[in-house]
Amino acid sequence: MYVPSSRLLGGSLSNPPVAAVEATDLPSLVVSFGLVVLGSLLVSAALITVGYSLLAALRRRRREPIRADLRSELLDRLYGSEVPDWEPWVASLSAARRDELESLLDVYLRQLDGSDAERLAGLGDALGLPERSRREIREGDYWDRLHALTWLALLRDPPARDLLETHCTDTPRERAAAVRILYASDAPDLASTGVDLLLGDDPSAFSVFGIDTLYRVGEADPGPLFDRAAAEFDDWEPALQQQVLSVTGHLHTVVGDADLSWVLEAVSNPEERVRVAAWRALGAYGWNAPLRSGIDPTAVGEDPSPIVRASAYRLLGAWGDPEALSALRTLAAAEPDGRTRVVAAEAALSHRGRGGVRSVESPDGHESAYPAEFEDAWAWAAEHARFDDLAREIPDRGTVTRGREGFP
Amino acid sequence: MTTLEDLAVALVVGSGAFIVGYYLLVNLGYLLIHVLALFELRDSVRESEWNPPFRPFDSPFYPGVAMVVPAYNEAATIVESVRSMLALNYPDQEVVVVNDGSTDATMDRLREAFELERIDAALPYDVPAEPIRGVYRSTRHEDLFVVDKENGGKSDALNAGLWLTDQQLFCAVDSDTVIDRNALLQIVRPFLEEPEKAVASGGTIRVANDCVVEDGEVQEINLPRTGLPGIQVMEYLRAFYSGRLGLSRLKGLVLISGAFGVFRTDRVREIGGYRHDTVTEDFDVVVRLHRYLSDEDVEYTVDFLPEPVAWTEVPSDLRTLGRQRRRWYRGMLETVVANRGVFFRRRYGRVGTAILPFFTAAEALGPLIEGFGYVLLPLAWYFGILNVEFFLVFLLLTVGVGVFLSWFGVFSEVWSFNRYEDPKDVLRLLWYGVLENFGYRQWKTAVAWHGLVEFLRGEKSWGAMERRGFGGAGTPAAAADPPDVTASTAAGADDPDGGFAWIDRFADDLPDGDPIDAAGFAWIDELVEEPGTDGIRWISRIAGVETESSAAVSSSVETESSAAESPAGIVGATAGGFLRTPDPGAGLDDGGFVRTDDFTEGVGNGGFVWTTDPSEGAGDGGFVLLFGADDDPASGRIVATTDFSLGVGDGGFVWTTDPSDGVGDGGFVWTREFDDGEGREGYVWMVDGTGPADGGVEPVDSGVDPPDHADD
Repeated sequence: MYVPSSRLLGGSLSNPPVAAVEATDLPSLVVSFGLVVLGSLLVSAALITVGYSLLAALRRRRREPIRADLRSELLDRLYGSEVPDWEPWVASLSAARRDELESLLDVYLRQLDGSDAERLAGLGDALGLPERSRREIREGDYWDRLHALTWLALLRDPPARDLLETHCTDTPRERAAAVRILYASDAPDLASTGVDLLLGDDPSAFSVFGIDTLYRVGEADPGPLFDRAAAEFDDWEPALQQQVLSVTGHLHTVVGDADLSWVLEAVSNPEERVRVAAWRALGAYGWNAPLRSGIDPTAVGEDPSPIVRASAYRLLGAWGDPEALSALRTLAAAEPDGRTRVVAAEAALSHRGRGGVRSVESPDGHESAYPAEFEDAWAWAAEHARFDDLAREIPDRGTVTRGREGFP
Repeated sequence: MTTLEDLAVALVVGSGAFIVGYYLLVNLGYLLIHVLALFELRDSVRESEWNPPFRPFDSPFYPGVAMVVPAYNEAATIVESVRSMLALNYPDQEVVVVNDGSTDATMDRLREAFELERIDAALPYDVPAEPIRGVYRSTRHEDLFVVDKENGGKSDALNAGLWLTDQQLFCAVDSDTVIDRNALLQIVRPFLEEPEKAVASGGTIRVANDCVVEDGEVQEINLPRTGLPGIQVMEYLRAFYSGRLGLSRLKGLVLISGAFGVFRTDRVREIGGYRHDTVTEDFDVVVRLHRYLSDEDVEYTVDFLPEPVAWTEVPSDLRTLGRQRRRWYRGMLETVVANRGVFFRRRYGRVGTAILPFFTAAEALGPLIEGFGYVLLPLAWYFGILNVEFFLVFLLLTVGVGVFLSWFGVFSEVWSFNRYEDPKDVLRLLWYGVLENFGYRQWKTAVAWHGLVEFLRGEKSWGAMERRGFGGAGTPAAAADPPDVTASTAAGADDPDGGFAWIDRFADDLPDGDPIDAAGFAWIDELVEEPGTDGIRWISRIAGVETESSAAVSSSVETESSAAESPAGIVGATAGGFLRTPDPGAGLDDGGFVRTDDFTEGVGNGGFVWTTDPSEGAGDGGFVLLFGADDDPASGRIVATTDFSLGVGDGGFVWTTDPSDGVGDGGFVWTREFDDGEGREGYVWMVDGTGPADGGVEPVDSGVDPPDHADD
């Protein structure tokens, strides 16, 4: 049985080694002062700690019944009556109860969608949250702004664009929070304003929240995103390039005539992570013949990075047509890295769907001439696919073949 | 004064001056770290209060995380642990359990519980670990993998796991750690905020002793009722809420607990994974990451977050705690020595120029210097150079600073996440901050010196960690109540008192029925009648194996394989159970077992200790409790065997004359005076319906709890 090995740094050595052997007399004033200061600190620390604990316990004791009452009343008004009458109810509440109600509203707004959420947004209005949020965006500090933007997103209440453009572009997080309001409220200018806010004026890499927001913007209409990337991609830092490519690869909404030359160029970017993301992004565009004509997937075999090659193999598997699979077979047979060979095998398996489809013979009808290493990779990938099917309760799971028999 | 005495005096005075100066500097350093921790905590609280308006489970951009769970002889707890990890809230997660050559039933339990099937294919790439026997997947849980490999230690198991996962991140977690349901969502925050830079993040480890753990989650947070775990709660708070937060503020976090930490998989692979030749692989891997990423000129962050919480059981006796702390100390020295090239090198930034040197001076050298000081004091007194006034003032100041720093940690907890809600608990924590200065801290300096000796000897062992286990549903961890063996046979393999915890509950389940002839239970008296007997022979009577020939008994005990195949073949015993009672006459033979750490208190010169290692006592085997058909405890039997994995809790009792054998200090001796033991009650053997003269068998639910050694 293993033991967690956490050393406990943090003051374990503050005790004396009992080394008081100095023969010198201590200046009594200094000593007295030191002792008084230390004593005061100790007394203060103890009082503050215990006092804070008491206060917190008291608040908790008061808060719990209040919260239960408010929750019950809120749900009654939300679901139990035609008109919720939020305003008179809120007006009857004390300040402490309104604070608690605000906290409950935050919880429910995150959980509810559609008409329930719209109806609940009325409670936010009654609590004065939209006005307060707009004021805090204008006048508040960083955290005030973030909380205000979050409220407006939850309430689906977009403020004037200039308010967002003027006050919410300092950090990637604020930009994302501002655009999130537009997304939550289905703003008609989501794509254009969203891309301007997110990627305008010297943008930098986002958090996952920001990447997800960019993705939502792109799903609404990828046009402005693609246009911006085509114009400015090379000016962005590699981390942002990677993120935009990652978003592009996840988009389901497509634009037939979009300029995606920047994606094609990215497959030969000096940064490994950008190349990985570029191959992944292209996986969604197998249908786009002009785009495909600009790619030579077999060239990826020359890439020194196994994770870049793996990304390209996934692309070929995702495309899944005979031409792509032929390229995949060629590359897989020569793949020197064991882990990447498994990716190639998985890619080959993935385009065939599940179950018995995997047992289809090679398209050319001949015995495959794969090296033994790839046989191992294929067997491994096929077994994992079989277990995936089992766990997902796919009906044809029993017909998966292993080893050479099922090679693509 | 002779010249020699002059020299000695000069040495003592010089050492004293050095120690005083050293302590001033180190305490100033600690103070700085603790103050910085407050700022970091404030920021962390602000961050955690802002919840961005999006749903993680709807986002395709959350990084995948593999929970890598090394398991060695965890049969008792592994199923619950894995269930708990599979239930964590996270959008893209897999669990990779690495069975590191367990000698108990860990693999069997996993196979049964999760319907594992072996992957019928060879590993297609090299894994830098001991040979892998097989990789298994669950047919029910798509995200569960089990790697069965030869034993190679925790580092080796972690390496196998992190090489076999394709997830972007992995979370190193101990199999007996209880993780808060949302902790994974919280601990990945640095990877969400700075996906390009974050390489590692650690969460807070808290003490689970006496907490109520239910369904793999801590449901009720309690401060341990006894002193030793209580002091450790305060230590953990100080270490995590002050030490690590402060280092994180300085961008110099050098340690992420092996019980709960998330790393970028590719980065750890790039440094070759975990090193095998260290016993503190968690410390070593973080220092090597710093070193590697600085060498590669990569911009990176290593973060500590105070709120994602994992719970662990801390040792409740000094022996186990000493073993743990010696290992930590040895591992720290190993890591410091192995990474000495980082020290005072500007290319390694703050980690090289300040943090590691300070860490070494304070944590590695500090206890040694402190211990030296304790030796110096009587010498100074002997030479008549002890300035008593100075000594007392210095003592007062340094103890005061120590207490203040400890209280800092408690205050930080109260001010931020306030998990100990009862102000009385907070008062107790503050008291522990004072108490630890008197005895406990001095003991730790001795442990450090011992650890140094072990390090110099080249000691590499981990030592066994004895845990009481978190028990079953609604069971306070390591508390007095026994685990619910009717719900699970997982009573805690390494539970020092687990053996008798379940016996108590077993008695509750005794059915009413016809009395059974109890003639076979005169065996206890025969122990006395047969001086020189070993436990194997005389216990055979209760097992009903054989009463005429000890050789025949030995034969059955030593036939390990047949025992493993058919426990029933060696049983033949009368079904029964133990009842906890204050009345020695309540059971058979007017006597019973009491818990004690002095084996001379009972009849005979030995007793039974609980262990998972059947070879630990006299003879090659011992005695385990088997449940009847369908795991019915009411028809349980005690059997003699060499295979303890057969029994409840994967452990059993061995006969020994040394109470320090086995798990925990002490064991059970037979007596007719229950006052001989540590409590007022003992355990008597009952057979169906066979009770005291008045016919009433009332299981005792309180009284003698499994003793705690916290104050040993």
